[in-house]
Amino acid sequence: MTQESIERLTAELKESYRGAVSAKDGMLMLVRLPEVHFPPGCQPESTEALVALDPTKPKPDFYIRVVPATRGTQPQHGTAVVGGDNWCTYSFNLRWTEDHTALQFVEGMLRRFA
Amino acid sequence: MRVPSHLWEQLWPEVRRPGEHEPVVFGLVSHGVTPRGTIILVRELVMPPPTAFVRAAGHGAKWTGAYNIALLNETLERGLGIVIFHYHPGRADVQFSGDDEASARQLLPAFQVVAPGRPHGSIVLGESSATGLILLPNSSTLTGEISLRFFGDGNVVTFPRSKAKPEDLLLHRRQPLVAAAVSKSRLKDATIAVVGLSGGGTQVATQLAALGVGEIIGIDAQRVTGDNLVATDAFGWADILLSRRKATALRSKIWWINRRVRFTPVNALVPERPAIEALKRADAVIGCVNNLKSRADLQEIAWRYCIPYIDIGLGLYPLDPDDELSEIAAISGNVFAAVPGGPCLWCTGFLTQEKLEKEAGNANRSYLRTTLSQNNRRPAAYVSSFNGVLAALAVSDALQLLLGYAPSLSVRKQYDALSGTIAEIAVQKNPACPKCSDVLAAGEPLWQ
Ligand SMILES: [Zn+2]
Ligand SMILES: [Zn+2]
Repeated sequence: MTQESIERLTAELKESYRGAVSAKDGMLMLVRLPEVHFPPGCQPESTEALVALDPTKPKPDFYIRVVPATRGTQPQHGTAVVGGDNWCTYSFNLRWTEDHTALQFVEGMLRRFA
Repeated sequence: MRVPSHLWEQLWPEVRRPGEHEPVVFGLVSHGVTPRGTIILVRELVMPPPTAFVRAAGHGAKWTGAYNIALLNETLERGLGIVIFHYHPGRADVQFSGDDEASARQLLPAFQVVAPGRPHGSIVLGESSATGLILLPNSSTLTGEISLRFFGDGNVVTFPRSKAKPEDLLLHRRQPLVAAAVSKSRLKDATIAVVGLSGGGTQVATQLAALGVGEIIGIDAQRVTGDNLVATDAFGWADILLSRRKATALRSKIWWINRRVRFTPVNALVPERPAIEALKRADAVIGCVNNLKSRADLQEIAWRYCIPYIDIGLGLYPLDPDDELSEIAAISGNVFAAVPGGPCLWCTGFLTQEKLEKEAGNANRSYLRTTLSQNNRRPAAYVSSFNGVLAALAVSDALQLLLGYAPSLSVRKQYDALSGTIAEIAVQKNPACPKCSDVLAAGEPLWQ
């Protein structure tokens, strides 16, 4: 992603999610979203999320605090230390390019649990 | 305050460089918060050019307003704070001069206005002491309660040193391994986290207890199983009978060895939050884990907060990985002490993105890499003594860090258990290592 895209996406995330904060961490731009909502039927219904914008990658990385149970089972996931904190990761091949918006990225990633 | 070795190597000669004016070096700092206090981490140094200085009356240095603004812009851009370092000669404990204090009281609040989220400070370094004033974020009072830690090639030095009599200091300098006043207090003041309490980690912890390390933090979420009994002498049959957690069982064992040692059990996996919080307050971390992902996480946390990280691991490699009854081709172990500012596990190629991805795709993360280990028929291997060798080497490295009895740690030790030999492999820092540039001394991100 270009530096301009990173700046645009950071601004979009802060605009779309109330209480969103950002921090530079080495090469990364991290944006923390206090609350994102899972699709209906998930337990819990929402969680905290983190978007990591890396200039060396074509897409942002998405992390959530807890992985929800969908229809009673918890999907496979991993853990990652990002910005010195522990986050959950999961794989989901979202078609997303720099032409799309940050909101499309986050809501698209959350559809994994629909 | 912590200064990684590569920065200390530049800072120390620069502040003592003879010249027209008292040399000043600016440290750009991040920070992290622990229950013990705030850790200030020096991420980068800025050496002002001679043109930045203006002649000052009295003691100390003054620099131009234009330079000040350029410096402040840079810290603001990077989300860092500023610490001013200078030097006072002489053997006695250094003191802040009246000019030093007046200038700190004027400058630090001004820095805080520009970058309120990070600490700022002024430090004077002496031959064997340091003092200064710090202004922490969200605080309007300057504090002089500081300790400065810098890393050498093979040891850790923390100022202020605990008070010692001159004869005790002399004894320590000549015979650092004698269990006398100075070495005892250095070990007693240390907190060491041991991650992974199986064959290696338990033997590390019991040896640390014997040495009198003040606090041992034992991190592991598992319970003792039969396999553990042939891998270490730290657990017994009763631990299995009671299905005790490893960290809890080890606490009893440690108490019997040395009841002055505080053992803090943490029943969590790295990188769960209780584990991260416990690691942050350690003076050194010894990782005894059996997979690369955990090593990567430990290296990341250690580098972020400038904590020495000692890594051990043992692998058993079959001749033919597809044959369940294959003979063993090699049993090899590794011990590597990463000192902040020196080479890390990524620099040495021990960790690579490719290796991590390969491991993630392969469910087998066992010490025993035979196919037998993939199902429940896995037999335990008699490796207590091999783990013991690695544990002893790791504890020796920790002892070296704290007492400084040998010159250097920049080698990786490779243990060949079949032949019973240890090879030393030279390691070098990789100037292009992303972890050493992006993560080292990064502290906690500054959210805004
Ligand atoms: Zn001075
Ligand atoms: Zn490195």
